[in-house]
Amino acid sequence: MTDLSPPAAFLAAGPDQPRRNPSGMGAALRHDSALKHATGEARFLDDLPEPPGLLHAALALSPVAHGRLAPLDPAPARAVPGVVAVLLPGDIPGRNDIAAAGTNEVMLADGLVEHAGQPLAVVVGTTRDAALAGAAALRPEIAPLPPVLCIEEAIAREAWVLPPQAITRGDPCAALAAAPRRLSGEFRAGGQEHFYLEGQIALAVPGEDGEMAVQSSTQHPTEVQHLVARVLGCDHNRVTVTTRRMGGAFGGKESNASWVAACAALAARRTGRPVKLRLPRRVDIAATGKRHPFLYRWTAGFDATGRILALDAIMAADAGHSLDLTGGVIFRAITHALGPCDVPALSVRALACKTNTVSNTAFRGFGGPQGALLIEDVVHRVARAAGLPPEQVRERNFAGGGNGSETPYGQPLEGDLIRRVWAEARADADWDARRAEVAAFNAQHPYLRRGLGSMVLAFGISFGQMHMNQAGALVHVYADGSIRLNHGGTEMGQGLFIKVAQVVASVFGVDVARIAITATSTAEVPNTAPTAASTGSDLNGWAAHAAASAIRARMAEVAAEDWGVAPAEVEFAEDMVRAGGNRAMSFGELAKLATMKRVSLSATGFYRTPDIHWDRAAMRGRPFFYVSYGAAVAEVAVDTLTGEHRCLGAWLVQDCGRSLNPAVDLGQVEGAFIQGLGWLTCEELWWDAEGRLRTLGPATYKIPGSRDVPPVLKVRLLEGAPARSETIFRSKAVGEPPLLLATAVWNALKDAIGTDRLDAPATPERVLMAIRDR
Amino acid sequence: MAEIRYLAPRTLDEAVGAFAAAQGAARILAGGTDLLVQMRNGLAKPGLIVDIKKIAEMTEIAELPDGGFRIGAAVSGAMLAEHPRFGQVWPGVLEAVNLIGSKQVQGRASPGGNLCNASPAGDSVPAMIAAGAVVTVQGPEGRRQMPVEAVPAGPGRTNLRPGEIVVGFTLPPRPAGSGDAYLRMIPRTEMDIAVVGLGVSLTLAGGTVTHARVGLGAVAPTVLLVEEAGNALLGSRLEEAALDAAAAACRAACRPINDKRGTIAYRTKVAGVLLKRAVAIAAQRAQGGN
Ligand SMILES: Cc1cc2nc3c(=O)[nH]c(=O)nc-3n(C[C@H](O)[C@H](O)[C@H](O)COP(=O)(O)OP(=O)(O)OC[C@H]3O[C@@H](n4cnc5c(N)ncnc54)[C@H](O)[C@@H]3O)c2cc1C
Repeated sequence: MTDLSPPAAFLAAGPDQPRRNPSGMGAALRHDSALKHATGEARFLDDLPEPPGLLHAALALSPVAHGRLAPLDPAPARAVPGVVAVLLPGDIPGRNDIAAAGTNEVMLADGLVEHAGQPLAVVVGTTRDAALAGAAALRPEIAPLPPVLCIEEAIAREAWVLPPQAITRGDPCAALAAAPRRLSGEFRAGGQEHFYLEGQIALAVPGEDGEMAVQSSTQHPTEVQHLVARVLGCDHNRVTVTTRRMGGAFGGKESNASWVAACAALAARRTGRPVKLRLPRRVDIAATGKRHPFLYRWTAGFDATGRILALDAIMAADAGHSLDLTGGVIFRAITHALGPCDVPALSVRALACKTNTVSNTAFRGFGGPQGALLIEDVVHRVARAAGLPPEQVRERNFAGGGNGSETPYGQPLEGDLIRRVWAEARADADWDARRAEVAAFNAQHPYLRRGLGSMVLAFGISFGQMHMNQAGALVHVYADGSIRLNHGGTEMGQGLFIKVAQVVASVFGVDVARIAITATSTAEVPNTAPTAASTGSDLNGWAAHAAASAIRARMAEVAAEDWGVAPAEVEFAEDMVRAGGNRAMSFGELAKLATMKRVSLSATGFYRTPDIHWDRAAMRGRPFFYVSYGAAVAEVAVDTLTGEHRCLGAWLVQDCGRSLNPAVDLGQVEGAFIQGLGWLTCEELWWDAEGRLRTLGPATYKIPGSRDVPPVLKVRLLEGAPARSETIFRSKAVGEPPLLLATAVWNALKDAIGTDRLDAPATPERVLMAIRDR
Repeated sequence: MAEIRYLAPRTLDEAVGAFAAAQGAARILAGGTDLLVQMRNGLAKPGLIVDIKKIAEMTEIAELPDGGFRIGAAVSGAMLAEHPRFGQVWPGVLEAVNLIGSKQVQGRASPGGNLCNASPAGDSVPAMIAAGAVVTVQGPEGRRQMPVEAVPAGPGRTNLRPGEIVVGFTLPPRPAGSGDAYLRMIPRTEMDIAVVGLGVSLTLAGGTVTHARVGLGAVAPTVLLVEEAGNALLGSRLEEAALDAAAAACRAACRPINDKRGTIAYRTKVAGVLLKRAVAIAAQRAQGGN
């Protein structure tokens, strides 16, 4: 049906109001590259035509977890036919430092090896096979040192990559002592390999005057630029980094892509030729960081109603051998340790343990999912001890209502939304009937047990590093009315580009097809933040909005002058520009007119998130612009004789504010849930006694398959809940929060087997052992 | 990469001749779903590849006059699944072969390759052992026969002599009242390698077991024939005690390793569970259900 509402009403709506445009805000448009992804026409970095004279690089990795490295003899690699260069730390013209947040994290091991899989050398060859054979031919001499391979040992040695952080409120010791009942717990959660389909890859092409053009599969082109410049010892303006799309990233290409690109750039600088570095899967898994594994120890005080009165907890993260982004991960873990709940008196201490393993990094949720497990474990155990359902205990402790409505560090939580998402998920799952069904099934089956579990999440949106909350965009309108959009966000399959294009389309009142989506480039928009922390659409959407609005204002003036009306009367809608009911021209005609009148149709836009602050010393503030909520119910079946299990059904409700694009957002919720399911139930990183990771490919590292998707998967976006903060069109971020929804499956497994402790990933073997230990 | 020669002879004699002449530098290629992966990973570096899929005998499925079956070593899982009768007579063997990989892998992967790859976790092998299958082998010294369980020597090693090629499997005729089954435990729902695999073949007469064989995979350096488990079932009416004894025999036969796929304790426990479940399925099939 045609939209008959007057265009004036449409335009009157500010950017925080809904617009009704079939291809603008809120339209369920498919991903701009969806068809090309399906047909194979979408070009990923390795699909691009190779520049003439291209060389290929390969990495030589340490086989040892910890040891003294003698200067590496390049001769065996040089002897391999086709090998052109073997690059060692001494070949680095700038600094051998790839630290993303701290300092002094080496790109190539120099004298000391700190984890198995650590890069030792970059071998360059005329073919990839030659480079790989050269890397394999090297014989590093490493005098082994005893490695620290587990969190417990790091704690015992107080080996940290960063001092412990703590959030406290009230007097937890006194509150514990005063509580009617007390309980202690310990459990652990494993790490997770990103397993992006497209592995790490970069192509570096040296130019004149010390220029280096880098194409990188990265979430953070600006950091690639910085690291390449640091390693090469040149100014930022010599390095241009471009990213059209990634074949998945999940945080794994936030800091790790930078050093991969820096290795390629080093090789390009030293050989003077273009160099491509594409890591084979085994090398990728061995050399790049993962989600941080956590060990939890807690004591809680509670009463007979299940109200948790006090909590004293330690969350120890395995950082691996270096800092990388661990500071941010720890921050998010402790700020999310209570989830949607309120605990009046608490101390949560986070430890950043240094071990001789690969340096762990960003992974969708960035410590948030690990943080949320703490309160979920406490709720589960308190419920069992009090003889109450965990759902009742969680509800009893929800923030708001009679309980406190601020996190211990001062961030307000919206108790009404917490209760709403939970009520809706519960209703969607038909909880009471399902509970009865599960009980009836369990009463009659000899060895299968079903279980029900739930999860309620509260996830703060904004980078924990305040300065990262900024974005830029560059918009051009050409004389034919076509539009070119560029911004600092990167596309990794998550649908950011279409969402930002929708923002721009709605500003100009044009169809989204008019907008050319272009590769992210440090040459077009400088000094950007990574596309991470779920902030991509929030930040870049506003920046693009600002750029487009600036151009629209100029265009409105041109039209106003031409028609002799006030600029405020000029309306942009349906690819037309209109005023006063009888004036109209097409958007393209106005663009043409503006260029004839010598009006600029190009603008940059900039945005920085308002209202956020954090006091590092006090560990207090309002670090998040807003909080996203979600809730889930999951049903599982467990074979109690083998530990095998399946998720039979999942009912998810996710708050996306007023969704910019419900099709994209639903996809994000589904994908995040399955990825979370993988983390919690099947993806297991397995190190041998020498500290070598032995799950280096899909045959041994188990990401969920298509059949692990629950046969019933009902996903819904929360309706009628526009963001209360001034977000772009009142939408909310969606990339990370729904990963936490999979915690419902972990809870359902515990329900099915009636156990106190279930470490994650809950593999069949762990489930069986938990049944035995019950 | 070094030069690799490729031959696709039409006769077995040619294949054996070329294979033997290469003196260990050659590899037989059936479906290639193991071999090509190993070559890509640098684990196998053959100078000569002898493709056996052009040899008629290697890709035939024949129902023998006595009711037995002869399956060419290079028959693919998909071909076996399409055979009108095989799956009715040997549903357990077919299940096992069809568990290998995915649809794409099924179009290529063969039981001969599965056996000669000599992985302790090969899925078709326990079922073939339970079935009492015998392989025909041809080499420079002519033909010989050996039971399936005699082929694997250890992880990645067989007892085939230099130049020998597995020609096919002969499965014995099936008396009335027979049934077989294969079950495997994998940590995920598809596309995975067995942590334990177990095949059972039974014949029942009036409810009493008159013949029972059990093959057990992924719990020792080679797939095993667990004679004690078969013997525990023999003469029984599949009472709880007999099942317990057979399960205990399976657990006792386990000599697994702790590795990334599973611990010793877990594999051993699951072996007993799978025995009981596979017997139940085989017995049901033997008694006319499926
Ligand atoms: C994605 C994937 C999934 C898989 N999943 C499974 C699984 O679930 N279960 C499982 O058991 N396996 C699995 N495999 C392994 C493999 O598919 C099987 O082992 C398969 O049966 C091998 O058969 P093929 O015909 O492809 O053997 P090939 O690769 O051709 O040969 C395997 C080996 O046997 C030798 N060989 C082959 N035929 C003969 C012969 N007639 N005489 C002498 N030597 C011979 C070859 O030289 C080679 O060393 C999987 C493989 C892949 C790639």
